[in-house]
Amino acid sequence: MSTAMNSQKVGFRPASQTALNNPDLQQALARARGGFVDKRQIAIEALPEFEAIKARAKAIKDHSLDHLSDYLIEFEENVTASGGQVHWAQTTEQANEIILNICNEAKARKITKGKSMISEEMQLNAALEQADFEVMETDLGEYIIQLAKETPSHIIAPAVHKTKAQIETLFDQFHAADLPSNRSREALVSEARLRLREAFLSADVGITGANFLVANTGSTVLVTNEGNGDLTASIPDVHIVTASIDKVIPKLSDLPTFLRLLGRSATGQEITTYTTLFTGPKQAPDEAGPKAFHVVLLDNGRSEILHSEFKAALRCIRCGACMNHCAVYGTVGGHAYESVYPGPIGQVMTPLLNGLEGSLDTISACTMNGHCSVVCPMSIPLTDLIRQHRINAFTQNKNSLIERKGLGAWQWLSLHPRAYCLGTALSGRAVKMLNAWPFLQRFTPMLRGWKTGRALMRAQGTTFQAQYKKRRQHEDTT
Amino acid sequence: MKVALFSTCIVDTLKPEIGFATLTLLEAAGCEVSVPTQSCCGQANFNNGDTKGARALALQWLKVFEAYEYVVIPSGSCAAMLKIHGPSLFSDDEALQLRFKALTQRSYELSAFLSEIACPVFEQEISTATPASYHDSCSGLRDLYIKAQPRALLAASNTVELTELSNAEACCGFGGTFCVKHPEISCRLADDKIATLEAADTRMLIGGDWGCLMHLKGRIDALNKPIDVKHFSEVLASAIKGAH
Amino acid sequence: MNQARANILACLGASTGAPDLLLPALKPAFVNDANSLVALLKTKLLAVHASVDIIDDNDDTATAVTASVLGFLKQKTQPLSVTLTPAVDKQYFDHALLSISHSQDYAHCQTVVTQATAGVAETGSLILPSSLARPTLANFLPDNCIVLLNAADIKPHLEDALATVQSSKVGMPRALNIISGPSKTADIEQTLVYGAHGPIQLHVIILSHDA
Repeated sequence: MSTAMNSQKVGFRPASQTALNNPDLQQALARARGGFVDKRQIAIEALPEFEAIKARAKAIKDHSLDHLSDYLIEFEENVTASGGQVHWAQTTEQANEIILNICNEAKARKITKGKSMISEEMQLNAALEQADFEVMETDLGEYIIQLAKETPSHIIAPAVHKTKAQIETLFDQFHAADLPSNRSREALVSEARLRLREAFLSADVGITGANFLVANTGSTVLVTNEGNGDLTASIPDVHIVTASIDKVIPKLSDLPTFLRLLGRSATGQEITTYTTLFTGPKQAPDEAGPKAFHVVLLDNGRSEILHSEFKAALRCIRCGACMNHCAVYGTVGGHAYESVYPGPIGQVMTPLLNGLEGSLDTISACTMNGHCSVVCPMSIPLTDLIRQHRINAFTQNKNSLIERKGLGAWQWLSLHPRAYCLGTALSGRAVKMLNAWPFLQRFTPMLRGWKTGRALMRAQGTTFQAQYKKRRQHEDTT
Repeated sequence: MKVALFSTCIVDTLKPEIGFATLTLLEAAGCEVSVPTQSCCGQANFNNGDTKGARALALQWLKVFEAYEYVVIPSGSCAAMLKIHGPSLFSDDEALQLRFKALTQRSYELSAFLSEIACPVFEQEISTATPASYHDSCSGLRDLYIKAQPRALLAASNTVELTELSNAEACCGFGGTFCVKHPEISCRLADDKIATLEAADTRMLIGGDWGCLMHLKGRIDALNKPIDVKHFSEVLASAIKGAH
Repeated sequence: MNQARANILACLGASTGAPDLLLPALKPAFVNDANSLVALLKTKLLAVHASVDIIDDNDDTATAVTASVLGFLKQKTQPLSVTLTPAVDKQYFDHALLSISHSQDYAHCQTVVTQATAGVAETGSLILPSSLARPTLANFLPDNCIVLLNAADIKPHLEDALATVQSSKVGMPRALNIISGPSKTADIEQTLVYGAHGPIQLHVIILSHDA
């Protein structure tokens, strides 16, 4: 597996602190949280068949994963039959090389791009720019973060962390000079529309992702609200689709089941404005359309994940519902996770893509509240999978010695009643004392975690069991 | 009805009042209550990846409580640990797993027990019902569907007047060891709860898990907010005649 | 690269479980007689800021279509000229009232008129498979997009529309567009703004065949 991220990471803890103290980010997160959560709720409540559709989607996807090689081969056959080409890449380096070759052969200079999380895994833009191609992101959110030289902070709303004021400042820098201040959102969108229209029309190659790959027709499916995906895919002479191997579904007739879940779970929409199925390059006699259609299938560890206890994660349809409902994501935003995928799905995928050692802080940043698992339309047991990473970390001795010793000590204590009674009695008394004489708290560094932001808890000083025993003895003797 | 009370390690060590309140409620409901020598359900070990340790503690819990007709637990998260996650710890031993499942089937979170099995009669006249709000702890809510039960019981007890929080189901930020590993995020989540409490103008926060409540109380006290924090057992027990 | 293919397939391993998954159909239920389908499609389109006119079979179609187009253009203060894709029957339009072009330079057309092969009531969608008669870029480049649709072509569910395209003589087109409104984005502070990269306005004219 190749490592996808560059090395400017500071770690989840410092990054989350920075996020907590960033007022613009906090304002943006509060706004986003309400929107996504409420809209999804309304959409789900309006669809009585929702749970049944979820079950159906899970069954189709599980079946698809069980037959992944067969469906990928079928997909490849149908793409080829319609005049397209399928390329296979085990690593992100291989995928980037394939795309660079295609662009070089096409003598391309300008490239337009639709939003694609797999291309973030590949760090494709950096690879293209290093090879002197001009790359323009066309999804408005991606365009914004491209100008800001940032990475996406959410898998469907990449610029969710930005306020209008920040976007306006960015546009002031890169768009025409002398624009009025305090422009409306509509004005900002119009500006972007004009700028990107030039890019669309002059692109030599268009690169998009795919929400789904349909095996029995050899089609790639792309959903957008902006229409940028279609302008990227249909104007240039070359259309390249980047997709991970787990995106394949068996039949065209399976697609609506997934579409019904995706829009509602992501933004509360029944369907996005544009849902397009691309099959092959242009078809005679229609002269309009790309001359070449390439699909780059990337593995990057998924074939291994398929045979692991994390297989269920491959059902993900990238809706973002998990992070929209995550208590932790809602306080710190996506950048704190310092990974392509933030939030709960990120906590499951990042250790698999980048290794467990570097992800320990991230997987500890979960309260196990289970909300993500409940809202996941593909029934991925996200909470259990995050816990599974913790189990693996423990078994592989990757977590801290103090923690291991602490858990071991607690286990021993809990299994030895007399020691447990003594230990809990002493703890209770200690807490009582520390409350009575607060200056003593200075000598209890182990309480630092608790005392960051909280007053020390109170305690009566004797345990329930001890008091109960005493009461029973008293009752028995009276 | 022979009921064993599993107080949980947090209540045992830090909040015996909940143990006694639970005792009061169960006895007033006509139960014969025992408190066998007990310790921890294993949740901390489990959530931190130590499944071997969790299994050992769950096995001990089984041995201690198996003899009883019912087990009552004044904590949604501990009840969920045992009922939902416990059996998976014994997947290596089918017979043991069946035994464990059988016990968990007659083990109840407190409000579920009072709603489904046996409930005392509340003898409180409405005087001035305290304005209060309820916090739904995540495990109880999502694993055990504890939502209406405590509210119905509180309503029947005529002790408090509940105002729903707009974020009643939001995670409070406790999350076991999470609250000390990521204290700033933990306190930010507590602040979100406190903000809606203040907006609802209530003076009392009630919940079903002392872990959550202890964390919220710690933050409330640090911010010097005049908000009382109670486990619902304490509030209900105050409506039992003869209780102190 | 072929080595990569072999390696990936080898790592994925052989398939497991039953070869085919046969599930009963599951589609959202709603009243789906002909009138209800038209009404549902219209409701859904209006909800996303598209405009919709229904033209009765009794009306003189050319007059009615022209009137609908003029009404739309005047309301949005757009020039009274349209570009027709080859799929559109030019007899629907009164050349005296409306300037008609057949240019295929859609990047420089303000308003295009095209024809959908089907509609989907479930989602308020228009089905536009790309072809010589229906260039896909006509659906995306102009500021305004007007789509004609026969009421009889409105299907209840997405599956119905997809099946029709898949089993057609031509089969899957290069681009099968399922269009459910004018373009929009919520990328600035999660607030919806209509008119992103695709058309800013979408006007749908449903040609009805019952009274």
